[in-house]
Amino acid sequence: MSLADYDAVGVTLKASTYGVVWFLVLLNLVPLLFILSVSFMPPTEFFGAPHIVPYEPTLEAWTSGFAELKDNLVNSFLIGTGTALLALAITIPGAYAFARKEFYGKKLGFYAIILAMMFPYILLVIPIMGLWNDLGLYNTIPGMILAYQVFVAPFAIWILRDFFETLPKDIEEAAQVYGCTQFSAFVRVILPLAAPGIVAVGFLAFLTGWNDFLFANLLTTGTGPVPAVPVLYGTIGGGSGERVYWGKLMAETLIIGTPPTVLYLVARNYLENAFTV
Amino acid sequence: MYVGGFGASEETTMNRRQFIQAAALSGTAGLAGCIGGSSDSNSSGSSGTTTLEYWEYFHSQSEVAKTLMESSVEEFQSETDTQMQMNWASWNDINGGKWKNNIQNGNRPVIYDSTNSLDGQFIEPGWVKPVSEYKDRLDDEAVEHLEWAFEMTQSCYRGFDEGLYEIPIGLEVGAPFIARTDHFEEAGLSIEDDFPPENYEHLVQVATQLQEQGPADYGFQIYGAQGDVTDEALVTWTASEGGYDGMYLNEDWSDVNYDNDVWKEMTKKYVDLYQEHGLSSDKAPTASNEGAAQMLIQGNVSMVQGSTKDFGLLRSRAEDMLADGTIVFGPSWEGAAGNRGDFFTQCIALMRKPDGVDEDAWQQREEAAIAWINKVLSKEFQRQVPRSLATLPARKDVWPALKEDDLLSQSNFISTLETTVDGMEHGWSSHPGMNAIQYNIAGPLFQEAVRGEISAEEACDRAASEIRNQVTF
Repeated sequence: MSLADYDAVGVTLKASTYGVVWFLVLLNLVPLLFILSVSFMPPTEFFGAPHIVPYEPTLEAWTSGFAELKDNLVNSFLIGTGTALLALAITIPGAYAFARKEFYGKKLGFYAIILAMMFPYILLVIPIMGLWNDLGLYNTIPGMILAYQVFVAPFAIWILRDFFETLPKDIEEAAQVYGCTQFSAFVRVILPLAAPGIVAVGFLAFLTGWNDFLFANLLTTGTGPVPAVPVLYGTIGGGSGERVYWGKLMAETLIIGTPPTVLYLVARNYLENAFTV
Repeated sequence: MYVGGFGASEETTMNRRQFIQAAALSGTAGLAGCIGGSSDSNSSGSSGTTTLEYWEYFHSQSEVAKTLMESSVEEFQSETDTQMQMNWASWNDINGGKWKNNIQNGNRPVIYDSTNSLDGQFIEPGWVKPVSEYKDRLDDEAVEHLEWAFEMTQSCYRGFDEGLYEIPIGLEVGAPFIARTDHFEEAGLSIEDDFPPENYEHLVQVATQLQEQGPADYGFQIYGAQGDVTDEALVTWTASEGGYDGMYLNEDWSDVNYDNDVWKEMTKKYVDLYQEHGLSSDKAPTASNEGAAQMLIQGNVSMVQGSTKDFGLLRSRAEDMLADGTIVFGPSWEGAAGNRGDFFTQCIALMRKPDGVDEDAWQQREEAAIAWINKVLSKEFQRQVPRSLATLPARKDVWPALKEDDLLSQSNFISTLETTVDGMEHGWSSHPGMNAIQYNIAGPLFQEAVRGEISAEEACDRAASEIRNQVTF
């Protein structure tokens, strides 16, 4: 091959592309590796000079982190699952109605629901605290599940409405021709076709219930069912907000991050279909 | 029955319906609270067990403190007919409004532990029960050895009607000098004669020699982090120099002290160590006292004036250096006011009965709470205080035993605290606005002074002025 055949620009472009890709990969990977590494280090190591491979790896942070979190992980699971199920129960029929039905005030109602998403929800904390206290929902798992609907329901309706709108009306009509009622056509035809959207919304609702800190912290006293994230906050805060047990913090972060990651991997196909434009 | 053209049989349809009905029932039951762990806090169980809601902060001080508190709670529950309902809170829960919001919304514990300077927000509205109302129910022997601490701690509540609102468990007396003996030797200094510094001029002289002739880059590290610049070494100097004039608030809490001569002079001296004498590293404006202690361990600096809590940090990161005497503690100098600085407490207190709660039921919980207080005031628990909370135990009769403790006897930490507390009388105020006074307003301004962006005098004036505008006295 002569020098003339050598596409210098092309090679440079390709090298640059790979360089940028590798840089971005490392940008994500190195902190993750560091988190993993620190979670296996004893305190004397993570307070010393930074290094990636632990000299004397230990499971101490993982065992103490898990022992501290185990009850709270169950609470988080109940809250996340409850939030997802309730959100789906409320929003599937709601979104279907907004997508397929004509009724008075439909547009206004839809935008009113969307508008609720635009305000910072910390505004709601004080009124919800008061109301939940009066209703006996404060410091309870059902209370948190209900509170999350305030911001989960609008985005769920938004996503599902768009999803239902993209489904051809003909299929539903065909099912009715074959003897389905409107409801059974919805249950037997529309819901299975909308499965990717429903799974996606359920996953996002679960993530909200699982990961939220604000409501989880402010709608609990700490003596009742505390989700996992406020416990992580306690590990970050330490005594006076200055002494952080980095090993345990990293282990707890990974422990809390694992269930949603597994859930994502299980539901990956559905999620990708749901978000494919 | 025709079920449509999708191949479903009647049997499967019925099963599915049954399943949906069962699932709906379970979900409804769950939402109604069956899965919830809804807490009817502070109830007295039907089996005669007393349920005691306890908001707990001590555990967050260290891993050792956490273990101590968890095992003590477990032990207490097995010894008594009490079910403790713990909230395992953090500093941010108390300081960030979570506790206050909860109490305002009717969720109040019978008992809490905390740091006294954070608790004015609970004392001012009358939620905390003064100690005088239950002192006679405390263990007599413990009270006898706590009287000195009760007396001293009253300075923290001097703006309120009652003398004492919280029982001190440990006293955090600030701020000890911490030094590297090997650096002193290399610099031709004697740790016996030249440490701890006897006054500011002596500090400058020793630190200069350490820097010039010792192995470290810097002789003495100051710290300007917003959470530390006003609450460790600097306030130790001002308190020892000015007494109440050197505390954040004046004696009757009618004004802030930052713009008086004591604060201006001491702040200038503090900043000068870095800006004029060059005895601290460039990290000074952002360094925390823990960061400074880490620099000491690494040998980048030879001496710091840190927190008693640094003992816990040194134990976890440099236990060998503590044990072989490479790192030693020393009390701060005695100033013109006749003391070696200020203090605050790790404390425990009872809350008043809220409206609408049965008197007898509350009384029963309060009895359990008193039993718990007596447990943390017991000799056994108090001996654990220096190891776990890194503070001086409030109960004086356990001090001699601490010197025989394997771990504590390896360093001069306890004897340093004993010397420091002698003659001390000025505690951090439990004023409801202390967070703004100590940290939120003053912290950034004093940090600017350490950076050299404004003068020490300007930092003091502006802090005082802004506090007067924003905090009610």
